[in-house]
Amino acid sequence: MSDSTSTLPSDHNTEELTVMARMLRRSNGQFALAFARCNSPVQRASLVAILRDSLAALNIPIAEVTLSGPEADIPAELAAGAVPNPGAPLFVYGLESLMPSDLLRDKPSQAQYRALAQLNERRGRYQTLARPLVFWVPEYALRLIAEVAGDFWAWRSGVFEFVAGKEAVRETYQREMALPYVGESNLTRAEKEVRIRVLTALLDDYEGNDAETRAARSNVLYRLGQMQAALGQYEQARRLYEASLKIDKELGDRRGVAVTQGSLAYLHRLRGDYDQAEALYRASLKTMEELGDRREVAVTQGSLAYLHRLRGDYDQAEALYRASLKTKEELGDRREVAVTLHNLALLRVQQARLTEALELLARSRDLLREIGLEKDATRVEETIREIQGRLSEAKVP
Amino acid sequence: MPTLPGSVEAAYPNVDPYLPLRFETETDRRFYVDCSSVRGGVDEIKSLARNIERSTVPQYSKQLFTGHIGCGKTTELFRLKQRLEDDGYFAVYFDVDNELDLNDIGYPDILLAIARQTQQQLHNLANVELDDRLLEVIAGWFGKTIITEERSKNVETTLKTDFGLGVDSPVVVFAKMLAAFSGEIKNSRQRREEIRRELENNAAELIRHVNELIDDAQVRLSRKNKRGLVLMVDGLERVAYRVDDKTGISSHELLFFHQGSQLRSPNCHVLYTFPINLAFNSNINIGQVFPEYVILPMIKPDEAGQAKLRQIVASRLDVGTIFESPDLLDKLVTTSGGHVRDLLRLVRYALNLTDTQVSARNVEQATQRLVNEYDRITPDADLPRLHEVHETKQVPTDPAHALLLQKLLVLEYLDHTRWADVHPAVLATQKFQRFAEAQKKPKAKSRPGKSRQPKKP
Repeated sequence: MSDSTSTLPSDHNTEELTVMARMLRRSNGQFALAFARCNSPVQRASLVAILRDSLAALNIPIAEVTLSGPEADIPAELAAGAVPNPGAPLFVYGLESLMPSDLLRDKPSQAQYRALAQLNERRGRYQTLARPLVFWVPEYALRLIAEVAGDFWAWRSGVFEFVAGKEAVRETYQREMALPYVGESNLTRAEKEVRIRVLTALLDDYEGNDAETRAARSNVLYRLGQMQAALGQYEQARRLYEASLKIDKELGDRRGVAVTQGSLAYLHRLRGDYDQAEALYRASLKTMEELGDRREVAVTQGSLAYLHRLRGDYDQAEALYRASLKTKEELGDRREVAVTLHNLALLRVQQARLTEALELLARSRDLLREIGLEKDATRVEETIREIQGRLSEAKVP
Repeated sequence: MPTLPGSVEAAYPNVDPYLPLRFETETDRRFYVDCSSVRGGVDEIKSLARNIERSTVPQYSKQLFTGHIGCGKTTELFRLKQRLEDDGYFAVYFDVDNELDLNDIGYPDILLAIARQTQQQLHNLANVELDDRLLEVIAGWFGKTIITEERSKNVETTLKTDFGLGVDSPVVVFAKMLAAFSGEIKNSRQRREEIRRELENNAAELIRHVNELIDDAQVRLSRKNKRGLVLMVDGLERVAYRVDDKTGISSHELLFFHQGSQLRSPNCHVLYTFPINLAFNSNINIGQVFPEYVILPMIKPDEAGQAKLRQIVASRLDVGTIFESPDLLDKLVTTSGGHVRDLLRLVRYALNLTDTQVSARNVEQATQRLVNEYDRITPDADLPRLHEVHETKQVPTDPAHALLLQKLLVLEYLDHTRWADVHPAVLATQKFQRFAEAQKKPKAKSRPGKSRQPKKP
């Protein structure tokens, strides 16, 4: 939970709350449709708390419902959420979870259309709830509703825009950026989707033209790209990386460009577009060398080596693994050394040099044990046993 | 005449942007302002009514009606209904939103809904009961056609246990059965497709049965000295737009053009609302299927139009006491662009900004709110198009401009001929103003005598 001082509404927000409370009071238990734009769930909670208090003083309770996710049947869930307190305003959260945040498209995606079509075409059912409805949404979702669900949007009785204090935005940004990038294994799909929504909302808070804002925007785009890639949404990830890359180039952020090129190369590799992948890895490598970032150089060499391995170009792969390994050893990064030893071993397997492979795998396993990565060590151990099995089979006449 | 609300609290419920006037109450009649003189000088409702009144049996009028979102379409439909009822017709009005799934709609669903609504509304509103034996036959036919064999090995038993065929009165059976089918059509995609397939395979019979029901209704209505039945189906302008990958035909074209003859099939006057883009569609000519279609124009923002718009507000609240100065309303009227719902919305926004009286600052803030809302849905990429419309007062007939009309970024008026302009709230956005400013610059730079490139090749 965040520090409450950073989410205190500004004067503007206080005024918005007053206007909204007036609208809810005057709706007097009749149907009315309103939207509250708020990018941060933390801030939303504090705004709702203030509203709840001021409405309670008028004997108006608030009903709340959080939509269950991408498959939600909106009218049914609202009807269920609207059971208590007839006529009470119903606050609806999570509408954005029905709209994949594919925000770099020119047109909304099919999935977004489906969610929005529900709103548009079944609007009569919201009316039958006979109470004011307030949809709390981040900016990007609000824009989509206004653009795509025109008939629903046309019924609005109010749009209340809450601005995030600079502090609150920065706090969310820093928290997101401080989270380590984790691949597919560590986060559940739902967790990844939550982070995508937080990051997407954050994008709307970084729309200015100054260098600092744009750099932050680029970072958020890059993070979003990583998240989408982790969800297997490679095409979306590519578009996000490209957008981040564009900003980095304009800002002259060479390091940023090189990092993003590396991630883009990975996506091209996955698509089997090896030439494009190699060009990007090479460009990234060159910059990292010029910047003197030995760690990144070593990592990129490893990626390039793998690409060559995929192409069956074992000599090139060998040379790159060797170079990568040397640097990693010099840097004393034992985990990275273990990774490269493992990859080199797999190259040996492909070259049918199984005894050498076993030697390398044993070194990798021992290193992993030393630094306490027992799980990884066990996996390497399994590979060792499998290869030993193959060797003994081969010896049987 | 009751006094108009003079406090912001009391005025608030009177300016509801989403409630159409239904002409069922005295209040509704008081709120209604006849704007036909400023909608292009033609009373479209009168024309629709005349087409109904002047067609001689067995020729029935088959009409389409539409207008931009929030321009007063449903209110005008209710006015038509009122007029027809005053003229001795029985009008069956329903909104498909409550009956069907707009995301996926076919003509069989509509015909089924027509059968159901006709029987129900005659029963509830006119105390007219259709012929028992006829209802039994039709219910039996629907049952046997729709309850497919996979669902029930023994259709007869299902009909008896689920719907009480042969047990309950035919009226009850018919109502139960059609309610059940309509629930399935609305809520289950799989059943909807199944039901539609069965009905489409038996289209001629479906139409025959619906018409038997309508014929019986007509006979019974005439016994009550009614001039006849008019079906008014609202909400069809919101049918989801989708283009079939294989045929390239849109869902709108399919329903109103390719299946138009099925929609025309009921033996009575029919009026459907339809998606406005069909009127500006170059693939098909909707007039071939429905020669009589009407588009309700926006209220013109000229002096006469503005007077009507002020009157719309003045019929609902006491302008003199609610606004600090009556001319404050003018600013809201101008910003609305003649769009009734936006006008009511602006007034409501202004009311929400105060506990006492609407001040000049409140009007400014309310206007800014609407401007911000339009700003959000104005893509930068459309600025050149919008600018062009604003300069030429014309809107080309193409999909890109149809979208601008649909989003109300461009409003269309009728003044003998069609003309259009950008919504005043869009004109007031910073992005539009900056763009318009930038367009002026090259003009100033261009040297006299040097011919400029035409805007479009």
